[in-house]
Amino acid sequence: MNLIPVAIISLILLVIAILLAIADRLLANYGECKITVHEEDKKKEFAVQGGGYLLQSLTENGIKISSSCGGKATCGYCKVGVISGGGQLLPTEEIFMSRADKIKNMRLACQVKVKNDIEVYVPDFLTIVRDIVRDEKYDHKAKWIWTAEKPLIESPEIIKARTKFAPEDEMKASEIIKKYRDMPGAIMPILQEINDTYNYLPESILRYTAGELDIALSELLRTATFYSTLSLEPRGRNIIRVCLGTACHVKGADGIISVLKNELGIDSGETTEDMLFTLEEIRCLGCCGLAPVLKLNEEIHGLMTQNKALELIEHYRGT
Amino acid sequence: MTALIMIFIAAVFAHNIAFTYLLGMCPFISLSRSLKTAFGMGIAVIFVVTLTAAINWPIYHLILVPTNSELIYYIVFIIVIAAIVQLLEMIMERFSPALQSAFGIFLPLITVNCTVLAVSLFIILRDYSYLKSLFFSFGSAVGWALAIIIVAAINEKLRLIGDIPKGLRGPGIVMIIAGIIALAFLGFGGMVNIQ
Repeated sequence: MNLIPVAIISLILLVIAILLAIADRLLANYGECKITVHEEDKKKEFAVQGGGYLLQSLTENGIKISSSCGGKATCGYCKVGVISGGGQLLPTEEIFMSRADKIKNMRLACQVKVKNDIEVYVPDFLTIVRDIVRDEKYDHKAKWIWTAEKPLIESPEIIKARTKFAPEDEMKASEIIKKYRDMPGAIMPILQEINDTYNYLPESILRYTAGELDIALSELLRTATFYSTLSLEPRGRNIIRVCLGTACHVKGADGIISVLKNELGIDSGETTEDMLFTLEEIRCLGCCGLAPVLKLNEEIHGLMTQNKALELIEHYRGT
Repeated sequence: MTALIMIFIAAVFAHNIAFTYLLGMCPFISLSRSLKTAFGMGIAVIFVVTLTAAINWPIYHLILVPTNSELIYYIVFIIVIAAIVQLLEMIMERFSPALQSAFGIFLPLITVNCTVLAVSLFIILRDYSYLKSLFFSFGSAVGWALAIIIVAAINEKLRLIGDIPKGLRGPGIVMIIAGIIALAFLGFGGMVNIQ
């Protein structure tokens, strides 16, 4: 057998490999570069060896950027905002960038090479997604992540109710979970039962449930936010649903709801501070013959007038 | 000298590598949608084809022929092409980021453009001298660039009329345009001939 061709090809490969390695060492050596990262309000600085990709540098230094394709510019999840030192937008990134993204100078971290000092910020939605996905253990004191954006104008009572996690809560919750634990598709009945028990889905209980069922909190939230009967906001002991359907509207439901709003001092969709009443609007209750109608808890009250509505409120306040 | 120029002209027109040999069709079809990308790809091809031919000829004649291992020239050429493209990209990234962003994604794509390999193989098959092979490779690359630019320009103008049947849009219409232009290029056939 003639071994010379094999030797030749190995030799050529070797020479090319050495050449490329030397070129890599000489050409792709950008020295030490400083990366400044703004994440939420925090600022982080670190130095990396230049020549690598930004995504890799960020991940190695403990800044989590979601990326499902692993740096191949196919998923488009690793968007970061580059403040300075990122170079031009590459054609590989362009398809992932909307016009707004381009104005904000967003880049795919997996395509940006670190060649000089670079300053980036991690956009908010990334941190939000990461926080939800990462949520393996439950922290009773944590706030809803999306409410953190708007200033908290809720009463202390509601905030207390939201984060309270007493031992009896644990008992109640674990009892509910135990009932459905081995059932496939248990999320729905569990959420319903929690909703029935508390009139809403308390955050602390949801976190506890997620931990007990060993699923991500986001999975529970997906279900919880889909159905309008499940509420993430605390609701009062009595839920008043005023029908605003066509028949009721014609018969003066507007007046009734505005009287109720005045009397309770809340807008529709809100709960009184003493947690006694929640006011909701509903489109139709299916009993137009009794218009105008309101539903208090499970009872239908037909042929409403403004005075009768106020009397009803008084009655429930007394009990 | 005339022989060299003849080879160049023949490679561009009479033996246009895209229209008579139908080589490099994959980037040809996918990148001939706009004049700008076609131009970028054309320039990149000219660059790489000439360079690889210039390197592959000595490798074949000075290394493979004396050692009796002509058999492996396919593999060697492919390796050389890949390495050169890689090297070029590194050099451009370092010294001329503007040029690199102008080439954009086309430079790495050239590694798999069969025009590059075909030209290197032709200069071996036809047994050209070094100078001849340089002119031939440069001419072939210019021919390919010319071809893609012509088709892209026609494609762009056609889109202004915008009356192409739905099923023919994209690759379909490019094939038809390329076919008609190839017929036109057939007319150059009698003008000059490659040996």
